[in-house]
Amino acid sequence: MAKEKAHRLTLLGRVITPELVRDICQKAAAARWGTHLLRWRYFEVHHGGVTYHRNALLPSGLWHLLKRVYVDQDWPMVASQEDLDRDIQATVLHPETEIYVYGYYRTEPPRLQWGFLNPQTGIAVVYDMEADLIATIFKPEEGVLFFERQIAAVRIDRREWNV
Amino acid sequence: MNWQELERLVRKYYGYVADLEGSGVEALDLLFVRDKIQAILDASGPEEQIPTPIFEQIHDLDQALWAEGETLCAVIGDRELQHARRQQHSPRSHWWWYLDGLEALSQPAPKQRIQYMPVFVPA
Repeated sequence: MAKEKAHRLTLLGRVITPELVRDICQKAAAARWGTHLLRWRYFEVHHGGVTYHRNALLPSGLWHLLKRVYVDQDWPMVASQEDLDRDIQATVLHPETEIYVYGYYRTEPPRLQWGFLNPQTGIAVVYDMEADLIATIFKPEEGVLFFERQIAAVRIDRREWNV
Repeated sequence: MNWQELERLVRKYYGYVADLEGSGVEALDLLFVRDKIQAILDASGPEEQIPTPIFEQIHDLDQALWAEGETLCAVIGDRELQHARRQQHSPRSHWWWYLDGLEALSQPAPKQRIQYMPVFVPA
Protein backbone atom coordinates (compact mmCIF):
# COMPACT_ATOMS: atom_id res chain seq x y z
CA MET A 1 0.00 0.00 0.00
CA ALA A 2 2.82 2.35 0.85
CA LYS A 3 4.32 1.55 -2.53
CA GLU A 4 1.10 2.44 -4.25
CA LYS A 5 0.99 5.80 -2.52
CA ALA A 6 4.39 6.54 -4.04
CA HIS A 7 2.91 6.09 -7.49
CA ARG A 8 0.40 8.78 -8.11
CA LEU A 9 0.17 11.78 -10.34
CA THR A 10 -2.24 14.60 -11.01
CA LEU A 11 -3.44 15.38 -14.50
CA LEU A 12 -6.18 17.88 -15.33
CA GLY A 13 -6.93 18.05 -11.65
CA ARG A 14 -7.53 14.31 -11.40
CA VAL A 15 -5.41 12.30 -9.02
CA ILE A 16 -4.34 9.11 -10.75
CA THR A 17 -3.56 6.23 -8.47
CA PRO A 18 -2.90 2.53 -9.08
CA GLU A 19 -6.42 1.85 -7.85
CA LEU A 20 -7.85 4.20 -10.44
CA VAL A 21 -5.74 2.67 -13.21
CA ARG A 22 -6.99 -0.81 -12.29
CA ASP A 23 -10.54 0.50 -12.37
CA ILE A 24 -9.94 2.12 -15.77
CA CYS A 25 -8.54 -1.15 -17.13
CA GLN A 26 -11.60 -3.05 -16.01
CA LYS A 27 -13.96 -0.49 -17.48
CA ALA A 28 -12.08 -0.25 -20.76
CA ALA A 29 -11.95 -4.04 -21.03
CA ALA A 30 -15.75 -4.08 -20.92
CA ALA A 31 -15.55 -2.69 -24.49
CA ARG A 32 -18.55 -0.38 -24.26
CA TRP A 33 -19.06 1.60 -27.44
CA GLY A 34 -20.86 4.91 -27.66
CA THR A 35 -24.55 4.82 -28.46
CA HIS A 36 -24.22 7.46 -31.16
CA LEU A 37 -24.47 6.65 -34.85
CA LEU A 38 -21.71 7.33 -37.35
CA ARG A 39 -22.14 7.88 -41.05
CA TRP A 40 -20.39 5.36 -43.30
CA ARG A 41 -18.70 7.58 -45.90
CA TYR A 42 -16.76 4.90 -47.73
CA PHE A 43 -17.69 2.39 -50.40
CA GLU A 44 -20.48 -0.14 -50.14
CA VAL A 45 -19.47 -3.22 -48.17
CA HIS A 46 -21.03 -6.62 -47.58
CA HIS A 47 -20.36 -8.02 -44.16
CA GLY A 48 -21.95 -10.88 -42.27
CA GLY A 49 -24.65 -11.23 -44.89
CA VAL A 50 -25.62 -7.57 -44.72
CA THR A 51 -24.94 -4.82 -47.27
CA TYR A 52 -23.94 -1.45 -45.90
CA HIS A 53 -24.37 1.37 -48.37
CA ARG A 54 -22.47 4.63 -48.47
CA ASN A 55 -23.91 7.25 -46.13
CA ALA A 56 -25.63 4.62 -44.00
CA LEU A 57 -25.78 5.45 -40.30
CA LEU A 58 -24.12 2.75 -38.24
CA PRO A 59 -23.62 2.09 -34.54
CA SER A 60 -20.17 3.23 -33.45
CA GLY A 61 -18.81 -0.28 -32.85
CA LEU A 62 -19.95 -1.56 -36.23
CA TRP A 63 -18.55 1.52 -37.99
CA HIS A 64 -15.14 0.82 -36.47
CA LEU A 65 -15.33 -2.86 -37.36
CA LEU A 66 -16.12 -2.14 -41.01
CA LYS A 67 -13.41 0.49 -41.26
CA ARG A 68 -10.79 -1.78 -39.73
CA VAL A 69 -11.76 -4.67 -42.00
CA TYR A 70 -12.53 -3.03 -45.36
CA VAL A 71 -10.73 0.31 -45.41
CA ASP A 72 -7.59 -0.24 -43.33
CA GLN A 73 -7.66 -4.01 -43.93
CA ASP A 74 -5.91 -4.48 -40.60
CA TRP A 75 -8.50 -7.02 -39.44
CA PRO A 76 -9.57 -10.09 -41.42
CA MET A 77 -12.80 -10.11 -43.40
CA VAL A 78 -14.21 -12.79 -41.11
CA ALA A 79 -13.84 -10.56 -38.06
CA SER A 80 -17.05 -9.91 -36.16
CA GLN A 81 -18.05 -7.29 -33.62
CA GLU A 82 -17.42 -9.87 -30.93
CA ASP A 83 -13.91 -10.43 -32.28
CA LEU A 84 -13.20 -6.70 -32.22
CA ASP A 85 -14.51 -6.41 -28.68
CA ARG A 86 -12.38 -9.39 -27.66
CA ASP A 87 -9.37 -7.62 -29.13
CA ILE A 88 -10.19 -4.56 -27.03
CA GLN A 89 -10.36 -6.68 -23.91
CA ALA A 90 -7.19 -8.61 -24.76
CA THR A 91 -5.27 -5.43 -25.54
CA VAL A 92 -6.31 -3.61 -22.39
CA LEU A 93 -5.61 -6.53 -20.08
CA HIS A 94 -2.43 -7.86 -21.69
CA PRO A 95 0.50 -7.51 -19.25
CA GLU A 96 2.80 -6.20 -22.00
CA THR A 97 0.36 -3.52 -23.11
CA GLU A 98 1.60 -0.01 -22.44
CA ILE A 99 -0.81 2.37 -20.75
CA TYR A 100 -0.88 6.11 -21.41
CA VAL A 101 -3.03 8.82 -19.92
CA TYR A 102 -3.21 12.25 -21.51
CA GLY A 103 -5.23 15.41 -21.80
CA TYR A 104 -7.90 15.72 -24.45
CA TYR A 105 -8.48 19.42 -25.07
CA ARG A 106 -11.05 19.23 -27.83
CA THR A 107 -13.78 19.19 -25.24
CA GLU A 108 -14.65 21.92 -22.77
CA PRO A 109 -13.61 21.29 -20.11
CA PRO A 110 -10.71 19.10 -21.25
CA ARG A 111 -10.90 15.50 -20.19
CA LEU A 112 -8.62 12.56 -19.64
CA GLN A 113 -8.18 9.86 -22.20
CA TRP A 114 -6.48 6.54 -21.75
CA GLY A 115 -4.46 4.81 -24.40
CA PHE A 116 -3.49 1.15 -24.45
CA LEU A 117 -1.01 -0.19 -26.96
CA ASN A 118 0.16 -3.77 -27.27
CA PRO A 119 3.57 -3.62 -28.99
CA GLN A 120 3.28 -7.28 -30.00
CA THR A 121 0.09 -6.84 -32.02
CA GLY A 122 0.34 -3.12 -32.76
CA ILE A 123 -3.25 -2.75 -31.61
CA ALA A 124 -4.18 0.42 -29.75
CA VAL A 125 -7.32 1.15 -27.78
CA VAL A 126 -8.47 4.61 -26.72
CA TYR A 127 -10.81 4.80 -23.77
CA ASP A 128 -12.66 7.96 -22.76
CA MET A 129 -12.83 8.03 -19.01
CA GLU A 130 -15.50 10.70 -18.65
CA ALA A 131 -17.91 9.12 -21.10
CA ASP A 132 -16.93 5.58 -20.07
CA LEU A 133 -16.73 4.36 -23.62
CA ILE A 134 -14.30 3.06 -26.17
CA ALA A 135 -13.31 5.85 -28.56
CA THR A 136 -11.53 3.56 -30.98
CA ILE A 137 -9.46 0.46 -31.59
CA PHE A 138 -6.93 0.66 -34.41
CA LYS A 139 -3.32 0.12 -35.41
CA PRO A 140 -1.50 3.45 -35.23
CA GLU A 141 1.20 3.69 -37.85
CA GLU A 142 3.96 4.69 -35.44
CA GLY A 143 2.87 2.63 -32.45
CA VAL A 144 3.42 4.25 -29.07
CA LEU A 145 4.47 7.51 -30.71
CA PHE A 146 0.79 8.15 -31.30
CA PHE A 147 0.27 8.37 -27.54
CA GLU A 148 3.60 9.96 -26.72
CA ARG A 149 2.73 12.90 -28.97
CA GLN A 150 -0.47 13.68 -27.05
CA ILE A 151 -0.57 16.60 -24.64
CA ALA A 152 0.83 15.86 -21.19
CA ALA A 153 1.04 12.17 -22.04
CA VAL A 154 2.23 10.02 -19.16
CA ARG A 155 3.12 6.37 -19.48
CA ILE A 156 2.01 4.23 -16.58
CA ASP A 157 4.62 1.61 -15.78
CA ARG A 158 2.47 -1.44 -15.13
CA ARG A 159 5.06 -3.23 -13.04
CA GLU A 160 5.99 -0.27 -10.88
CA TRP A 161 2.38 0.69 -10.42
CA ASN A 162 1.34 -2.93 -10.00
CA VAL A 163 -1.57 -2.56 -12.40
CA MET B 1 10.56 -0.94 -53.55
CA ASN B 2 7.59 -2.56 -51.86
CA TRP B 3 4.55 -1.18 -53.62
CA GLN B 4 2.25 -3.18 -51.41
CA GLU B 5 3.45 -1.18 -48.43
CA LEU B 6 2.84 2.06 -50.30
CA GLU B 7 -0.61 0.87 -51.34
CA ARG B 8 -1.38 -0.04 -47.74
CA LEU B 9 -0.38 3.42 -46.56
CA VAL B 10 -2.36 5.15 -49.29
CA ARG B 11 -5.37 3.06 -48.34
CA LYS B 12 -5.03 4.29 -44.75
CA TYR B 13 -4.52 7.83 -45.97
CA TYR B 14 -7.74 7.52 -47.94
CA GLY B 15 -9.49 6.13 -44.85
CA TYR B 16 -8.68 9.29 -42.96
CA VAL B 17 -9.09 11.91 -45.67
CA ALA B 18 -12.40 10.56 -46.97
CA ASP B 19 -13.92 11.07 -43.54
CA LEU B 20 -11.86 13.53 -41.55
CA GLU B 21 -14.58 14.14 -39.00
CA GLY B 22 -15.07 10.43 -38.50
CA SER B 23 -11.35 10.03 -37.84
CA GLY B 24 -11.97 11.48 -34.40
CA VAL B 25 -9.29 10.65 -31.86
CA GLU B 26 -7.25 8.82 -34.51
CA ALA B 27 -6.77 11.91 -36.66
CA LEU B 28 -3.19 12.50 -35.53
CA ASP B 29 -2.29 9.15 -37.09
CA LEU B 30 -3.07 10.62 -40.51
CA LEU B 31 0.00 12.83 -40.21
CA PHE B 32 2.22 9.85 -39.42
CA VAL B 33 0.75 7.94 -42.33
CA ARG B 34 1.49 10.81 -44.70
CA ASP B 35 5.04 11.02 -43.30
CA LYS B 36 5.57 7.36 -44.15
CA ILE B 37 4.20 7.81 -47.65
CA GLN B 38 6.62 10.67 -48.15
CA ALA B 39 9.52 8.61 -46.83
CA ILE B 40 8.82 5.95 -49.45
CA LEU B 41 8.50 8.54 -52.21
CA ASP B 42 11.75 10.20 -51.12
CA ALA B 43 13.57 6.88 -51.04
CA SER B 44 12.45 5.75 -54.45
CA GLY B 45 15.15 6.14 -57.04
CA PRO B 46 14.64 7.33 -60.62
CA GLU B 47 14.82 3.74 -61.85
CA GLU B 48 11.84 2.79 -59.73
CA GLN B 49 8.60 3.56 -61.46
CA ILE B 50 5.89 4.25 -58.94
CA PRO B 51 2.65 3.16 -60.61
CA THR B 52 0.78 6.17 -61.93
CA PRO B 53 -2.51 5.27 -60.20
CA ILE B 54 -0.78 5.43 -56.82
CA PHE B 55 0.71 8.82 -57.64
CA GLU B 56 -2.71 10.04 -58.73
CA GLN B 57 -4.34 8.78 -55.56
CA ILE B 58 -1.76 10.51 -53.39
CA HIS B 59 -2.19 13.68 -55.41
CA ASP B 60 -5.98 13.60 -55.11
CA LEU B 61 -5.87 12.86 -51.40
CA ASP B 62 -3.32 15.62 -50.84
CA GLN B 63 -5.57 18.08 -52.64
CA ALA B 64 -8.53 17.01 -50.58
CA LEU B 65 -6.58 17.26 -47.35
CA TRP B 66 -5.25 20.68 -48.27
CA ALA B 67 -8.76 21.89 -49.07
CA GLU B 68 -10.10 20.42 -45.83
CA GLY B 69 -7.23 21.58 -43.66
CA GLU B 70 -9.52 23.50 -41.34
CA THR B 71 -11.54 20.39 -40.69
CA LEU B 72 -8.45 18.36 -39.89
CA CYS B 73 -7.20 21.03 -37.48
CA ALA B 74 -10.56 21.09 -35.77
CA VAL B 75 -10.64 17.31 -35.45
CA ILE B 76 -7.07 17.00 -34.18
CA GLY B 77 -7.37 20.16 -32.08
CA ASP B 78 -5.20 23.27 -32.35
CA ARG B 79 -3.35 22.62 -29.12
CA GLU B 80 -2.86 18.97 -29.93
CA LEU B 81 -1.53 19.71 -33.40
CA GLN B 82 0.91 22.36 -32.20
CA HIS B 83 2.11 20.15 -29.37
CA ALA B 84 2.65 17.11 -31.59
CA ARG B 85 4.39 19.19 -34.25
CA ARG B 86 6.84 20.62 -31.74
CA GLN B 87 7.63 17.16 -30.45
CA GLN B 88 7.92 15.69 -33.91
CA HIS B 89 10.22 18.41 -35.32
CA SER B 90 8.43 18.07 -38.63
CA PRO B 91 10.12 19.83 -41.54
CA ARG B 92 8.18 22.63 -43.19
CA SER B 93 8.11 20.64 -46.39
CA HIS B 94 5.75 18.23 -44.62
CA TRP B 95 2.95 20.71 -45.06
CA TRP B 96 0.33 18.36 -43.57
CA TRP B 97 1.78 19.15 -40.15
CA TYR B 98 1.27 22.88 -40.75
CA LEU B 99 -2.28 23.08 -42.02
CA ASP B 100 -3.24 25.41 -39.19
CA GLY B 101 -0.93 28.04 -40.64
CA LEU B 102 -1.53 27.56 -44.34
CA GLU B 103 -4.17 29.17 -46.46
CA ALA B 104 -6.06 26.74 -48.63
CA LEU B 105 -6.20 27.67 -52.27
CA SER B 106 -9.28 26.90 -54.23
CA GLN B 107 -9.13 23.38 -55.63
CA PRO B 108 -11.31 21.59 -58.16
CA ALA B 109 -13.88 19.97 -55.87
CA PRO B 110 -11.57 17.31 -54.42
CA LYS B 111 -14.26 15.93 -52.14
CA GLN B 112 -16.21 14.77 -55.13
CA ARG B 113 -13.25 12.79 -56.35
CA ILE B 114 -12.45 10.87 -53.20
CA GLN B 115 -15.88 9.96 -51.98
CA TYR B 116 -15.62 6.65 -53.71
CA MET B 117 -12.36 4.90 -54.34
CA PRO B 118 -13.10 1.50 -55.86
CA VAL B 119 -9.41 0.64 -56.17
CA PHE B 120 -9.47 -0.09 -52.44
CA VAL B 121 -12.51 -2.31 -52.41
CA PRO B 122 -11.34 -5.81 -51.46
CA ALA B 123 -11.87 -8.49 -54.06
